[in-house]
Amino acid sequence: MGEVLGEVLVVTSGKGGVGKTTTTANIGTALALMGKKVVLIDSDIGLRNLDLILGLENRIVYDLVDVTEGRCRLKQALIKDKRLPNLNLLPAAQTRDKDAVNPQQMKDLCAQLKPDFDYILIDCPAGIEQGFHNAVAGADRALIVTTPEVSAVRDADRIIGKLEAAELYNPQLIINRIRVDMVNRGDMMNKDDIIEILAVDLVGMIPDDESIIVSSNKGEPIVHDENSKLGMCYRNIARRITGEEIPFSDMNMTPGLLQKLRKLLGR
Amino acid sequence: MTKDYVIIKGTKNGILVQIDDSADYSEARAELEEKLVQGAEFFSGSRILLDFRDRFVENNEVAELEALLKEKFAIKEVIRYNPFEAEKAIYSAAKKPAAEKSDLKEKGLPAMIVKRTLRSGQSVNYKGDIVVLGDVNPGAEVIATGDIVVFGALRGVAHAGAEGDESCSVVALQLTPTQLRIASTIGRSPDGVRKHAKNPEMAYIKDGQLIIEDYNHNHK
Repeated sequence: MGEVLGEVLVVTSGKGGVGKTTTTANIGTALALMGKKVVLIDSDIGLRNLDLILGLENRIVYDLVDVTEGRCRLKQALIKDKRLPNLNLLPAAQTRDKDAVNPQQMKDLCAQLKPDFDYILIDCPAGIEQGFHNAVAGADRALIVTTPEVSAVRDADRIIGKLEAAELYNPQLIINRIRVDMVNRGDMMNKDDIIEILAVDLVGMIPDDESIIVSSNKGEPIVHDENSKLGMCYRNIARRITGEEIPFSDMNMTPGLLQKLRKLLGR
Repeated sequence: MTKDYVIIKGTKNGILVQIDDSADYSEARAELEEKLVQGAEFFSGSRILLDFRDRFVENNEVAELEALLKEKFAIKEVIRYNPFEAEKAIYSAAKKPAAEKSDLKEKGLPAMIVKRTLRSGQSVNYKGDIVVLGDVNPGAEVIATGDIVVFGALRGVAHAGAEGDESCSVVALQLTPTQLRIASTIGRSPDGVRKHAKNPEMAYIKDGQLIIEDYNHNHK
């Protein structure tokens, strides 16, 4: 009866608004499109968003806190995705806050889900307090989302330190909302600047694009759009997570101005 | 049969008693007492240097041992042996106190060595010198009462001479801190300049000013 247990990945960032929820929804959907059994957990209690991005907000009957407080069984709270039967959502509670759940309860929850799913993605709230500790408690691996901005990178660095303290080593990085034209002008950090500080492995780069806003409003993750470049990026990240080696597209980035100067000066 | 945990050597500074740090302390003490009993006449009126090697022994435990040795075995003087001190004594005795100006001080205390990169929000505090084998990221802090050496990029905050010692310095392979402090002097790089240093640099205080220099030019 050699069961292979599912993997729990926490999607975190430190900084708010960098794209954790969007990333969780899209990677989860991409994994489900690959045939994996996936459950997404929204652990942002009080400020739930994952249900909106997936377009499932009208289908919520029970949530995470109902499960941990014993008012329903775990299976009753899971919501099947509109489009993919092997993708499920465990929504957060909206009327409570992050103190409603403790790390041990999250750990137990993940343990209950692991035998039945291939991937369990936890959408972590912003910050480093109780919400963060709850989200990482049951995780096997971590994905860090950052944008190419100094404040996001500073917070990501803090989070990596906290992940190491929680014994989650070797997190993987996703750089979101890259604006290639700004990078080429030298006005935006490029991936080497970011990795120099964070020193973790890169698992994906996603360009900034309006289409993401449209897809959020519609409640339809962008990976469903086969023509979308962003969708392709997320699908590649999903494949890399399962272990496939997919080369990064250079996104038409030329070395930034600063780098050009450095090369001239012989650094 | 039983390993010798206590080794006794005569030195010109007194009788050196080395207590092996791998032994159980009470066993080692028992062995010491046994040896002292056996050589009571030899030890009476002598000066003893106690070397605990790498074992951590509380001061009150040492005081207790000292009291016992003096009372029971008539030992005249008991000194806690510090190998660094001994070497320093030899070194300074050999050299005449020259009028040469030296910014380097030999200290007997071990430096703290941090063998990883310090991430944002992490802080290291030490009464002594600190060596970081890695980077100090923005948002991280290194605070030492002595010197600071960063074998990597210093991008965060470093405070050397934190208890007021203005002779302390900060050295880094890449000295690009958000803020630099030596004793009570605080420095930051001029606004708008994002310096990317190519060589190791050293910061110190000279004539009341915080100075940053290329490390290799003056300090080899």
